[in-house]
Amino acid sequence: MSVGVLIVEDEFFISEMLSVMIEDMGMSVCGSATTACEAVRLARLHEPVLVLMDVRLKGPKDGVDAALQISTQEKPPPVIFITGSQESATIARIDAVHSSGLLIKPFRFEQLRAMVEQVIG
Amino acid sequence: LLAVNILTLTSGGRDTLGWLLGRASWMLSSSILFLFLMAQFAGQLRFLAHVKNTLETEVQRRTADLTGALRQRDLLLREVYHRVKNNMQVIDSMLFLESRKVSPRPTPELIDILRKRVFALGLVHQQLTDSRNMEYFRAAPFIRALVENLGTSQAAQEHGVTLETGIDEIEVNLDFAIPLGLLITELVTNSFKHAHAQTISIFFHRCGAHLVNLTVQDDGADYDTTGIKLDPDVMSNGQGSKIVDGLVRQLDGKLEITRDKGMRTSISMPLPEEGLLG
Repeated sequence: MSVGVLIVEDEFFISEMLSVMIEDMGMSVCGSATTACEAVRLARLHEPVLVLMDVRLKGPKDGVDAALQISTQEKPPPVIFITGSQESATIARIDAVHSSGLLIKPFRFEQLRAMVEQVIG
Repeated sequence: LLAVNILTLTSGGRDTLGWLLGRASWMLSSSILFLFLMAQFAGQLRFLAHVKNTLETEVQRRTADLTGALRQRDLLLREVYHRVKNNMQVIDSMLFLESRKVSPRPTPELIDILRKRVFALGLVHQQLTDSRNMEYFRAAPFIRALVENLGTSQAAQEHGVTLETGIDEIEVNLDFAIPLGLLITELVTNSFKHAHAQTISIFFHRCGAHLVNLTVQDDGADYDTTGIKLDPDVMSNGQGSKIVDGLVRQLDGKLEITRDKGMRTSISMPLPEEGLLG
């Protein structure tokens, strides 16, 4: 059983910050993806305990598409969405994939920690 | 009708042929006049109806245009808000990561690099504001302004360092320009650290249908201005710093570091589609 967290974020500095924050919480990062395809592949490969998912990603598919595909795998991990967009269309799409949580950028470490603890106990 | 009218005039008495023809002629003339006027009237009506239709179509078209423009503006504005928020998060992440560094760096240097990175982000937004479609802008003025700022803050002139640029006519968008600007900031700042560097060159060229190349090179030594030798890993296996690596990855680029007379960092990366039109 892995205790790794998969980080899906195409902005390097934000991705790095998320990694450091996850490590600060005593967990490890099992992979970081910048595209939806990579996210789906790494989720299958590493079976993470949690996925931190940015909504806007590089490439044609976004984080909601990736989460949808990840949710079809055996024992799908919980997904926390992180987005800068509060558009109702995006929020509605996130709601439709049964996300475990939603953080709006910019967010603080404490907010992330509280949400992670709430999701994986 | 003329013949009939002449006949009417020449003949005199009532109920004569001329008289009858005269009446018939009058009836006919007034009928023709009446029909003529009616036709004119109908013509005018048709013309007015046509004008009304044209105007209505024009008003409808303009309303649709304006509604479209308004929707476009809303979309653009929301997009801008989103981008600004995202970049605020990038800035916050930089501050967070720097504050977490185990070995404390001299504070002025730390603040200096952070300021340069924030300047690069701000410059992208400035270029966008000046661009024709708020989406794509020319790389050349952007890179030149960026490099000029880096030179000023490093006091390049006082140190006898010349900065030169060679930039192709290429258009870039925000998603591409942000990591590109940060990359140039990191690489040029690194070059300034190399002892005896006299020229730092920044090239941004098109090298294929969908491929561009960024090269930053200097003619400095392989130790820094305080005499500390540069990380040997950087020279041996062609790896850059973690930040450079991360930004290159964000751009889907390929990094190549060579050392000959000075250090040369070359990054080939795909360009967003529309940028090729530039």
